[in-house]
Amino acid sequence: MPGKLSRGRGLPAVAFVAGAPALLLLGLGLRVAAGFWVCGLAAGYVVQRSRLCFAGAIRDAFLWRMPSLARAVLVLLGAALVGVAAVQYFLGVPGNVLPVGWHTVAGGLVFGLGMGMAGACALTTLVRLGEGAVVYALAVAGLVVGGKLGLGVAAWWRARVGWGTAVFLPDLVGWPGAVLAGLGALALLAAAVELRGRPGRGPLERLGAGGE
Amino acid sequence: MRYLDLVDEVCPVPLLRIQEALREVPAGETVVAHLGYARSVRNVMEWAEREGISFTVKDLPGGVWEITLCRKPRGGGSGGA
Repeated sequence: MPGKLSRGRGLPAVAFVAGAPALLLLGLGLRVAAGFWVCGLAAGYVVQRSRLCFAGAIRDAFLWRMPSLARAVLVLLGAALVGVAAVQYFLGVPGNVLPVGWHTVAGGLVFGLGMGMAGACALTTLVRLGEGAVVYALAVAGLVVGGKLGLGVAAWWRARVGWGTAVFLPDLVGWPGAVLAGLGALALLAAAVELRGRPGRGPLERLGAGGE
Repeated sequence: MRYLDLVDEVCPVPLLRIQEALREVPAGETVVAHLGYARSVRNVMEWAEREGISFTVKDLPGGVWEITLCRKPRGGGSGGA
């Protein structure tokens, strides 16, 4: 059912909700917290308006052969890869380097299953809740509880399953090599997405063909 | 005309339900759906565009979109999308 709120009428309320806490934090001398609040809101605005969705990017590309969102996410990852490498290289900010192993794949599958069932990744879950889709409060609660449980059993996993050694690519092949390797991996993913996105075969393509 | 209320549905359910409805209605009939999430709307638009299904989208108040899709007439052309 369409609501009564018309376009633009909520703007003063939005400005108040966004601005008041920032001013309050500044007044309390918490400048960093105020900065986080404003940057967080700005990032949230961009994510909501751009309709970015990691879950949708993968699902649309491989289930529906619609590659546009996956292209956007791959461009985003490429830009982030270069940006993060630049920050680490020029500012000397150390990365949080963790070992990759079969547990990474297993965790990815479990997370992906949850993402598919919720219909949204962690990012979109927050966006949808912010839009007023109350059902996503469940997904946010699941994320928080899951994160807490994960932290609680991390030590057990490290001891039992083995953690492996962390590999920091720039140590092995230098910074240019590491960035190129990352971009190359993204290019391979892009090729897979484009290949999948080609029009043609498959039952899904015939659904809207009409006639029969 | 078939009406679908998909405002509270989670992706990708809106697209699936619309595909299902378009398969069930007779050729030349329209399916009207209300959706509550911009990403779902884009999904349906992109799919319909690719399939050559003609559609219109209306931006209703309160964060609701109304999308009207027309199943192609039997033996008809591209549907004019």
